[in-house]
Formats: sequence, structure tokens, C-alpha cells
Amino acid sequence: MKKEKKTRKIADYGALCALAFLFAYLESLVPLPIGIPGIKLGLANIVVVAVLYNMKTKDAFIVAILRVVMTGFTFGSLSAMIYSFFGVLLSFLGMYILKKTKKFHTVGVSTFGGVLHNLGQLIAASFILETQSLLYYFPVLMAAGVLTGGLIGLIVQWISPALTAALNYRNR
Amino acid sequence: MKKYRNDIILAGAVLAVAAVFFFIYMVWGERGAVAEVSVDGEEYGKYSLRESREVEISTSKGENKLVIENGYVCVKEADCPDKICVRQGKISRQGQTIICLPHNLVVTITGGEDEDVDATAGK
Repeated sequence: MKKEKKTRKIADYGALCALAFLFAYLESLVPLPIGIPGIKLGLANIVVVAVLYNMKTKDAFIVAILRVVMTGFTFGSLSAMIYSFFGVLLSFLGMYILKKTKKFHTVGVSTFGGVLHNLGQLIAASFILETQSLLYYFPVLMAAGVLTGGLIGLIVQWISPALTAALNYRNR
Repeated sequence: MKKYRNDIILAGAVLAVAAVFFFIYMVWGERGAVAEVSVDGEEYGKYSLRESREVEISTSKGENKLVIENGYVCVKEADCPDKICVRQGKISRQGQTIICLPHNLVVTITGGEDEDVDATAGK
């Protein structure tokens, strides 16, 4: 029984990472027509937020880290990967804490996560590029984080019943 | 909507902080000294903001005409389809950018060191 559970978990990680990977790929095909580097819809975060709400925190964290490493090596540059790594760390921590308070919905948690992701990236980039001029982007990236994070949260809320049903069906 | 009160307050608070920072940058942002132009991610040239001049930038995808005046820089004319770069207007503060996506052109204001200015300018 225990072994079966472990196998299932490995399969879950594989499927979820593949999904996040696919979202990241789709996104790389359609760049947003905004003249600001670093702004993305973050479709891959749909998977992370959905897992955060439907599975264990640890699972969401593993998927989040795996997808950064995977998409970073495939679609991005090493520096972009380092930036998003810090973005993911900060945003995951923030979303986890916010979710723990139980005062917010998926939309609020995801919004916060989007903002923190951008903030983490910006801080990492400022340190690595040794320039403060990047902080000029801070307000824009924050506002963008609210929009994209909120959108992702809405999508997750929308697909959550179906996802929960799917997981329960399989676990029967 | 009442159900989402906390979420809306959170989003509103973040936007408010962003607005405050934006305002601070607009009012107290440091004046830049140099306009750095890059095409296709590679440096094209640096131009001092102290002297007024016009710079024709030719990229593989089209032309942009940069105008530097009174410490400001703007894209006056461009043959790109969307003209977003022209509409971005004048910039003067460090970190501000004008971006022309169709031509892969980025103009960034930096503090710059005067010695470097024009050393790599133009083509």
C-alpha cells in the first residue's frame, strides 16, 4: 500500500511538472506586447497554486522548484532562472503564510504570490546586476503582479472543483 | 463581493503602495546623464543628455529618430507599425526606458560617467 502511494506521488509530480512545463512553453510562444522585461502571465503558476490548494504544501513547493529549474534550462537563460528562483522562493513563502491565516481566498493568495514573485526577481536582479535603476520597475511590476496573480487565482478557483473531483476519482 | 473583502483590500493595498512608489520616483527620481541605446540586446551607443542633438538609429528592422533636448530624450519618428515608442514621450530620469518592440530597440537613461559618453556612440 505504502509503495503504491509513493509510486502515485512520483506519477503526480511528473504529470504536474509536465503541465507547468507546457504552460511555460505556451507562454514563451506568445510574448506579451508590453515593453517591460520580466512581466509574464505566469501561467505555470496555475499548477503551483492549484496544487497548493488541492495537495500538500510540500507537494506544491516541490512542483514550484522543479518547474523553475526545468523551464529555466529549457526556455530561459541561467540568469533568468536565478531570478525566478528567488521569485518563487519569496512568492511561495508569502502564499503559504497568507493561506495559513485562512482570511483570504485563492484570488488573494495568488495575487500576493504574483507580487512577491516579481519583487523577489527584482531584488535578485538588482543584486546580481549591481544596479539600483531596476528598482524603478518596482511599482510597475507590483501592479502587474496584482493583475497576473489575480487572474491566475481566478483561473485556479474556476478549475478547482474539476481538479478536486479528478483527484478524488483517482484516489477511490 | 463581500465574500472577497479581504482579497480586494489586499490587492488595493499593494496597488496603493505601488502608486506611492511610482509617485516618489516621478518626483524625486534622479536626473540621468546618459541615454544608452541597445538594439537586439546589444549596445548600440551612448549619448549624453547635456547636448541637444538628433540621432538616427538604423536597426535591421527599421529606423528610429532619437531627439535629445534639455536633458530629455524621446523618439520623435519611427517607421515601426505601432509607434508605441513615439507615444512613450520624453524621459529623463535614471532607469526610465523607451522601448520599441518591433525594432528590438531599448533606450535607457543611466547616471553614466561622462568619460564614456560618445566613446562608443553611433555607427
